[in-house]
Amino acid sequence: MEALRDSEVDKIINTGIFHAEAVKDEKLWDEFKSLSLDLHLPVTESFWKMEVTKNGKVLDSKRERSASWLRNFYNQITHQTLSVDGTSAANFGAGYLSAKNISAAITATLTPFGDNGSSGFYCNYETAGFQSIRAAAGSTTHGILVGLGVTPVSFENYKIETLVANGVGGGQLSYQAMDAPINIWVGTPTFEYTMAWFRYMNNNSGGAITINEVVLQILKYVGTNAVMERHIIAGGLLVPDTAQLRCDYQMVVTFLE
Amino acid sequence: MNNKLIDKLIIETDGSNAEQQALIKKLSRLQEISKKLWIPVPVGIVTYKVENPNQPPIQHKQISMSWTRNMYNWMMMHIGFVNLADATFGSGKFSFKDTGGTVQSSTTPAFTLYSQVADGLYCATGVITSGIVVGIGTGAESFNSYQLGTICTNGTGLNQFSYNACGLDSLTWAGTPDFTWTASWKRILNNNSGNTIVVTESGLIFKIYYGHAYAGASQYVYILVNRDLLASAENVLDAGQLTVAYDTVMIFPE
Repeated sequence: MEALRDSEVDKIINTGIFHAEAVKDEKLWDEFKSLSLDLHLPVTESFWKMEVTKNGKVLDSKRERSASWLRNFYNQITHQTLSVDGTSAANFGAGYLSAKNISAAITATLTPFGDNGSSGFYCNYETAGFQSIRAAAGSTTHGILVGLGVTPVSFENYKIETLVANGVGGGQLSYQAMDAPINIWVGTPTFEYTMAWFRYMNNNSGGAITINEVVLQILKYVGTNAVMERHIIAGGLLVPDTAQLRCDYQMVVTFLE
Repeated sequence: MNNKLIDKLIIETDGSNAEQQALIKKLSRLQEISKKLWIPVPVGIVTYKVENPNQPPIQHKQISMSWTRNMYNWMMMHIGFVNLADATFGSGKFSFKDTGGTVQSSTTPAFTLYSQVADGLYCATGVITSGIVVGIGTGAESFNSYQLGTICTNGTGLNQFSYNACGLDSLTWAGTPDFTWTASWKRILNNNSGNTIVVTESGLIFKIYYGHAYAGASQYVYILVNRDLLASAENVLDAGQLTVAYDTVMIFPE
């Protein structure tokens, strides 16, 4: 593969727009995967797949690289991989291990997303009602949520910009219950494990809605939620009245084997 | 490219080891790319320091390239927000294999809770069920490893070490230009066995926790997440001391 020159890589630093450019660069992804495999490190990728259908006909379909895991997500995986506890209940940002809820409240429980900090521990990622991604019908407290916001993703994002509320009123979608994720293993030659969360949303609002952002929001514990991943949909996605939107969050890990 | 993490590695590893230097260059490049793509990458660096009686201390540092399937599955669980519920262990299976060889799966996820004082890599003096452990096995590193080849148990008999507690030595944030969290876990082992111990392997064992209060059930499980063969065996003489430090670095985009 042809590697980018250092100077080209160096200019893609830190700002949202440059990150967005980097994510689209498949050469960079190839190099990332090659280096990770050489160093025996896990290769992790994520995608958003979105499809609009009406009367059984596909009106629009997009699959885009996401790669917009936010600080909340990084802090969670740092806790669990480095075996360390939170460092701050007052600050959220560079140099702090903490969590920021959608209300902007900051917490630093022993593990920000693995502990309710008081009466014990009741996490189950795949079961609605527990600390989970899996949302019930009509719920916008967590799970896959969509919105109208167009502001580029920032690493510091902790909530969706403009949530499309649940309902049948103007600009609203009917959020369906989420199922357990679909897990798919592909052996030789790629050795990839894909975990896919998905959710259907029906537009019964009486008008078209253009979706610009999609997030993965976790219910940490009762009453507190945090966005782990936020993605801006290139060009938006038009969901006509009476159409159905399906959003899949696909997480792919490449194994050494 | 100003990169303190990599500069430090280049200085501290054996400059004559071409293989290590090539890996370090790849690591440097990977660090830069992972920042651009916003992909968390856990990088392991292990240091072995031997202090033998009447001899100057010897220290070796190497990149740890030995995350096991358990670690991959551990990360998958928390990155994909999924439970590991397969009854078998291996390619395409969502499960752990504990240090006793038993496949562990559950319809709830597992966590390291109280990671610095009770779970995770923490381990008390004389206990080798978790934390940093060493051994005398020489079998090749395997992605499916779930225990050391031949672990040095705790004690003062042949090939036994007196294990001190395994604790978090430091947790540090490095800002510009690295943007990394580094957790340094360290364990000191004393050789009071009466003989030299030739250490050839080391590993990391997580103490993880399944369960939830609603169900009233909980369960601790021990999983090997890393096994390294030493680049060169460390001879720890009787009355000598071995210090093993694992630095795990998480690269942030910032």
